[in-house]
Amino acid sequence: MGNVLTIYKRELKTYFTSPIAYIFIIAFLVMMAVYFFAINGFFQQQNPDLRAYFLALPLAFVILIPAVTMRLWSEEKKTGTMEVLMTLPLKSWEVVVGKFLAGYTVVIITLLLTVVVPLSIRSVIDLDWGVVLSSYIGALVLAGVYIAVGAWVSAVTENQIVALLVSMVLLLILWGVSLPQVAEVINGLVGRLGDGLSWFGTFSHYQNFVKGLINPVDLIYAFSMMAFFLILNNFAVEWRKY
Amino acid sequence: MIEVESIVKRYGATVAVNHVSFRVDRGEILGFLGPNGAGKSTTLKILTCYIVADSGKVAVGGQDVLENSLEVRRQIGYLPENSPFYSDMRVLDYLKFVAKARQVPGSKIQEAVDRVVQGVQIERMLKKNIGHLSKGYRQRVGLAQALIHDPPILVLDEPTSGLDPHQIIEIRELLRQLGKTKVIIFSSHILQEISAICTRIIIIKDGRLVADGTPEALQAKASGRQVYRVRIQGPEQQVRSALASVGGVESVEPLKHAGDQVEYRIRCSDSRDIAPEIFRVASGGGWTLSVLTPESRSLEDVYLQLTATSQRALAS
Repeated sequence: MGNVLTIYKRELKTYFTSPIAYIFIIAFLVMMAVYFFAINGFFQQQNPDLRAYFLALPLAFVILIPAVTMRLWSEEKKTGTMEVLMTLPLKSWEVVVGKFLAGYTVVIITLLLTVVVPLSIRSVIDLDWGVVLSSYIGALVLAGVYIAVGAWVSAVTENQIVALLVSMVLLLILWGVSLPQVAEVINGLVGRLGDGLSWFGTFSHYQNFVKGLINPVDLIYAFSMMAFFLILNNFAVEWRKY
Repeated sequence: MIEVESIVKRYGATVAVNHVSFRVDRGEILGFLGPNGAGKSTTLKILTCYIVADSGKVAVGGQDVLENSLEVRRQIGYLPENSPFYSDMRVLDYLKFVAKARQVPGSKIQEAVDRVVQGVQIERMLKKNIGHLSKGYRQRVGLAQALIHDPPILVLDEPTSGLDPHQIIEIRELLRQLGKTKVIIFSSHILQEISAICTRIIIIKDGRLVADGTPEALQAKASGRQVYRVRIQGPEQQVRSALASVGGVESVEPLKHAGDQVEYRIRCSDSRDIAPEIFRVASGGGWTLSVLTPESRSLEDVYLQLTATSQRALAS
């Protein structure tokens, strides 16, 4: 675990000594605030609650999380620092997990900062704090899945822009397949494929959290997805040697 | 200490390393020599467990690089080519990071950092970002990180490339010091660097090992025909024909003119020492002989001879 921590600390420090983390945090907060107060027309709603806000979060993640993960591996490959890193006496999974956790931490910090939104409107409307909490838990585990996908994509290319765009598209697909409308279209094409794919998408699981349901199945889904992409990430790092 | 047995590494259609075998024992400083793209770096990357050979066996300190990769990596300090280090990190932070990642115990880290910082003389650079360092200092940081865990084996890929002559001499001196207690393998495409400090030289070309031996052994292999450089004051035509008539002389080639003196290179057909005869010819003709030096064939000739074909192929 010490080795994971060594990698984790270095990665996290890199995020905060360069402008990346700050840009990410500010961009995310501005985006969500503009959406919430301007586009969504929060105060014009009949029964205002935060559901629309939380349903928009994952889409903001699709755009911004790849910006956090894109550098994790591709930068090391591009600059050659990978050669020092992978000749250190560390197991590759230790590096994979350390990097994942560092990226995750940047997003968790951002997510914690968004708490100002529910706090700022608590005097205006009566919020169900249980639902807010479960929505945040949902957003946290969802972010974990996204980070794992982004980190894996970053491990298969040495071009950061490619990593950014490919993870955006993958995350969008992963989100899209579980939208009911999309599932229906796919069902129309091939039997009940849409319903099957839908289960693997992030939306169907995430929306339960936003409804206030913390369902073990959804948690298991999220953690299995993280594990799956971290394992892929580890393979990508190991296969590089051959 | 290191045993390499018939390793092969292909990149697509090109064979980067083709059945290379060698061993390195304790107390050796091994120079890995070859033109650019000969397979030096690839071989070193295999030794350091950065990549895996397609076939063949490599053992470091008795440990197989595939079965005990972590153990092998612990024993090696590695400076990759072009010293790629995190450019946004400060030197001190970077050295501490490498020390931690190399599992130097927490209480010993400061001591280890102090030791290597002093060893490569980068005391004044500790607070600087690696990206802001000159090439020479980056290279020293690279050596420092390779030494931080006091490894028994040092693998250095082109440690002197891009350095000025002063820095090269400093690094050489450092390597000579380190070579007393450590096995060192270092690569270069410049012969002088290697022959200056190595106890053994391996020459590699197009992925194949073409020579392996001490600098002396390689030199002996190459010599066999004597070459002299002479400078004589006298009429060129007569001097040339007189020199050519000496027994054993194959050719006489004027090199340059300095006033009424001319410098010649005399090639012989065997290793016999004909210096006395040259002297006699000069004094017999009443000419002044101011230079007479045997130009024994240097390692450079061996190197050029062994690595020549590819250059000839390029030229044609």
